[in-house]
Amino acid sequence: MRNEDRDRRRERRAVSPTSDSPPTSSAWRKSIAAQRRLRDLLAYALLALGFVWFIFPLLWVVLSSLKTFQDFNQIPLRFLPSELYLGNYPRAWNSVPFGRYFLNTTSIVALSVVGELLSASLVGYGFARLRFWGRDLLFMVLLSTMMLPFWVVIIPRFLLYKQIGWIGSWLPLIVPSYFANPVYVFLMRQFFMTLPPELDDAAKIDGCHELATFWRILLPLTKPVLATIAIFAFINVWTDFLKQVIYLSRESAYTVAIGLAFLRWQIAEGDPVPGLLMAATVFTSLPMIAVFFIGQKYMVRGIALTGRTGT
Amino acid sequence: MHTPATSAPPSKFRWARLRPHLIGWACISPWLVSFSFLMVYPFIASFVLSFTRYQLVGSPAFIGTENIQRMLFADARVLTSLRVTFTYVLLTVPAGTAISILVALLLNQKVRGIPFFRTSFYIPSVIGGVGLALLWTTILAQNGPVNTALRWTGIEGPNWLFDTAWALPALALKNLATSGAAMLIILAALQGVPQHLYEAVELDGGAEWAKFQHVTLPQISPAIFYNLIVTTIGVLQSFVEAFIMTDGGPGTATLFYGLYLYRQAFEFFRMGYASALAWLIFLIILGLTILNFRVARYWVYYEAET
Repeated sequence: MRNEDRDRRRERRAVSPTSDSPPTSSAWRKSIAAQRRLRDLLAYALLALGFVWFIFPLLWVVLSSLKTFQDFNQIPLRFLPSELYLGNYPRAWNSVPFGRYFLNTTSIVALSVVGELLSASLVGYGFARLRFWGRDLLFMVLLSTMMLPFWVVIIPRFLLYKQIGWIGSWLPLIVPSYFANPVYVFLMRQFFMTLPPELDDAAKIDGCHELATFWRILLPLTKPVLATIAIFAFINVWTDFLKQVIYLSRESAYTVAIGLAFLRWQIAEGDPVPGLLMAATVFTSLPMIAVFFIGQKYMVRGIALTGRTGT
Repeated sequence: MHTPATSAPPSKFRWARLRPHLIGWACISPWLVSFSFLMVYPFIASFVLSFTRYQLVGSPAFIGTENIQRMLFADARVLTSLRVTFTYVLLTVPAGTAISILVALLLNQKVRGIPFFRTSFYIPSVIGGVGLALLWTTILAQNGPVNTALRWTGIEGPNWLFDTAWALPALALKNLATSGAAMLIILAALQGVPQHLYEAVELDGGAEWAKFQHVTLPQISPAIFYNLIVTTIGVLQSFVEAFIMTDGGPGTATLFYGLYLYRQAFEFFRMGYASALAWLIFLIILGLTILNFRVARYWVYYEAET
């Protein structure tokens, strides 16, 4: 008996610190809360640091585009412009025929986006929903071409386009987009795979042809992926420079990116107005930033799924 | 199985069996066209061109291995540009990967305003191309904001893009401020880590570091590996930065392999020699990718393998 009592007492004593003493427990809870707050604070500090690292350059461009020539030569450097000088914008716009280049780039973008959407969705549908000889092997081949370095194909492509008289025109920039970019095919295929197979069966019972099933039933369901591809294609054409500089030789066919490069070389050879360059950078980047803000959701999802931005 | 099939008229039977295959091939035919004419043909053609001299006049003249000998043993620029390019890879890929992991971890914290930060971290990557290169040209100017910030701490910064020692690190700095896509890929991987694994570590009394080391890192290692491959291949082919910001200079300090190849092909129109250069970088990239996959066995964790 006595032994049992002692045991019980000991037990109580052992348990007491955690269960019977509210002061210690609340202190513990408080310390957890404090730890949390400290953690959040640290997270915010690092996020702010990241914000400066990533956003400062953009802020700097906008500020620089509003500076006068004198502002750039001051030591120490002015952070804010001395006055809100808007003169760089019209001067930049007129120093290179940006109006025409915007029109050109927009046309190329529009025609390419249509092609990418049509071809990638059809090919993606084929790989996802149809059974045919060699399908899985061909899909593996398609995936592996995504890794092929562009330098190894660019010279024969150039010679091919030259032979059929396309160099100088937009055709080498537009026509290939009607023949299925592997990254976009992959995106479409992955999405088609998630749609229930009953859809195809039902359509088949109703006497729907495969292509009609694709066009009328499945394609309308893929709008989110189509949006992703459209945004990727837009941004890729707008930021591309290498292909444009290789294929375009007529001044009337030039794009915004080439115009921007021209402005850079003009300035390198004299006429030193950095503000001009920054103004041009701002207005040539605006379409991309606009598209990004409109379609951010689709874009982020697309990057997460394919692991790339469509090139 | 055999009897009903053979009783049908042979032509009709064949068509019925062939039809789905034909439709399948018809659907993927756009890709088959681009695959043949824009992938396979150029890939083989550039190999053949490597053994020729072709300056866009007349037809390619077969010269045996002259291009290859020149490329490997006589042309010092090839080695220089390879050294520059690999230095650039070493300056950008490891640091870029580390930064994207850190930023992704940060964006995975449960604090307010994450969507805002995610957007602002990604924006520089959207601008891309020539615009971004010009932007960084001014940031890195002699009297630019980077040097002003350095002056506050008492350091006199170099004239980045015009200094032989600093031009390449300057380009690397630009590259590191725009690693948005990598960050998003790793963030997506982080969000896919099953919560019950963390709970298991908590039950074992593991701290934050244990969670990171034993759960997070193995779980996101395939994403990190994928990123490593893609960014390495991408950086090895860099072109625009050098073309716009430094034109390969000063001297050959930023002569990327891509820029050198571009000059040979599209400024001097040495199509044969440039094709040999293209195949060399292709083989290097292939070798490096295979090596990467070999090494990956030791550090990349795949769920299905266990």
